[in-house]
Amino acid sequence: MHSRSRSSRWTSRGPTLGLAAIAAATLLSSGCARAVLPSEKAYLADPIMQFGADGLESSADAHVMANREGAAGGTGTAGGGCGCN
Amino acid sequence: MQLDARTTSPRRRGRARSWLRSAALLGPLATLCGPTPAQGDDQVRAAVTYFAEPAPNTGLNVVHPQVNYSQDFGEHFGLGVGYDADVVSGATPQVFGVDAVTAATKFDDVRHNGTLGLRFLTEFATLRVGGGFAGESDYRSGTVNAGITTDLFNRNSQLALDYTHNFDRVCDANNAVAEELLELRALDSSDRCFEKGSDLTATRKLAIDSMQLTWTQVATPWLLLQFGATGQVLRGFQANPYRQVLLGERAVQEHMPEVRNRLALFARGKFALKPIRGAIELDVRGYLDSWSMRALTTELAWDQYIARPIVLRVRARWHLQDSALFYRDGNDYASSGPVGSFWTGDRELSALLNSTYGVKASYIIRARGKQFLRFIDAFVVSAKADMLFYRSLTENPEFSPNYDRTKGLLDAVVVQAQAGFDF
Repeated sequence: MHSRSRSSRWTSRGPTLGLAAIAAATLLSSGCARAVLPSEKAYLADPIMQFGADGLESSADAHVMANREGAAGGTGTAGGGCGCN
Repeated sequence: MQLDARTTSPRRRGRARSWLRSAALLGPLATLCGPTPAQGDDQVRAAVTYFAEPAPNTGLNVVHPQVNYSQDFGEHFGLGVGYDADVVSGATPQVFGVDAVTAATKFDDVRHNGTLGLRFLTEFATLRVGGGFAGESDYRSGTVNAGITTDLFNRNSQLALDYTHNFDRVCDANNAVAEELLELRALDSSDRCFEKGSDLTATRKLAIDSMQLTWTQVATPWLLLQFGATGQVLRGFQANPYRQVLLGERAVQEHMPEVRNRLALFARGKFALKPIRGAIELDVRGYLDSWSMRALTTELAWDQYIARPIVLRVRARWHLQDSALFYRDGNDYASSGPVGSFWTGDRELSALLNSTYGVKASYIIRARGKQFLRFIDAFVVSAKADMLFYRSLTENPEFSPNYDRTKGLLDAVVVQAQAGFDF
């Protein structure tokens, strides 16, 4: 019977630590930082500052990766910080 | 689906099944993670992507056309319509665990997918509902989705929550007479799939629930952050019905657990390089699931204005993953059999390192004052190329699935051309 060796780089606390890190980063970035004024968002409104600005490319890219990798999801949401919505 | 006469088996797929089915599994995630045009983003886009994974006898080629239309009607209503397809051809081993080259089978197939989405924009939030349907000879997938996005803290924060449910139907061989798992037969042909009264095939169900929570934060006038989590639960038939695994001296249909719970956590940052009119982006994703698979993905990208209408982007991406609990290489399955009651020949479930390096150029022509053709605000064209490298991290890579495709220096290539306009 073959037993598979598993890398020691993975720990069972990974997800918990990840969630804690996300929560901490969110609180820090939203609560502790000075509010950015609309007049200061010129750079953020630029198309190159949008996450996933090219929708067709993003979906095709995710399609390719899903076929070659066992993981999925976590690719984020499109948009940016110009406050345009 | 048309098959070459290389083997006597009439209609059999492996890798194509994997490629096409990945689209169905990805569907809910693509819906969640796909772009949601902001108010005023009235646009039409069309793209063609070509994927090639060369190999002497088991290569794979995919042509992926896409077209999207999005428009807002008034201040409170938006509509999005999309279509894409996969035109797949290549060759794949019949049985995982035997010589892939001499046992390769040629195939080709086409999958069509259509989506419809509605947006309702209010003072406090944007609501989204939508659905879609994808069909091919042996797989049908229906999708419904809903989501909400709201801006907070003087529009410096944005919270988005999305949910998708998939109603999928998978064609399988009729294994009603099998008394034990080792008697499971693989599907030979898609000819009788979804045919009422057929005693050769059976229709299996797969339900997929996906949810994503995303927080986007303006940190400074030059820094944008995004954090979130994606959860997914799959219940139903998840194996490749065509694939066989050699267990001892017997080739048996792939058999996988019917429940899979997945979780991905991600963080992204985008920093404006003000002096040189560029931006850099760093994405990190951690992933784990109930099949004991864990993965870490990192991507680094740099967007740079070369001249005002031209944007050049270079990127690098690395994906490292462990193998699923029940994965074995072909030699282990053949010599020792499986551990437990599950076995697979799916490369995506093995330990691996994928690397991607790419470049993209975009050209945007904006109307100055007077619109083009009286209604077009801007034309957009782009072209990109990615080089993909695969490295098996299993103990015996030569016995890993699709090893024949990984012998070259370049594992795979993706080329995409896109055009569209805003109005």
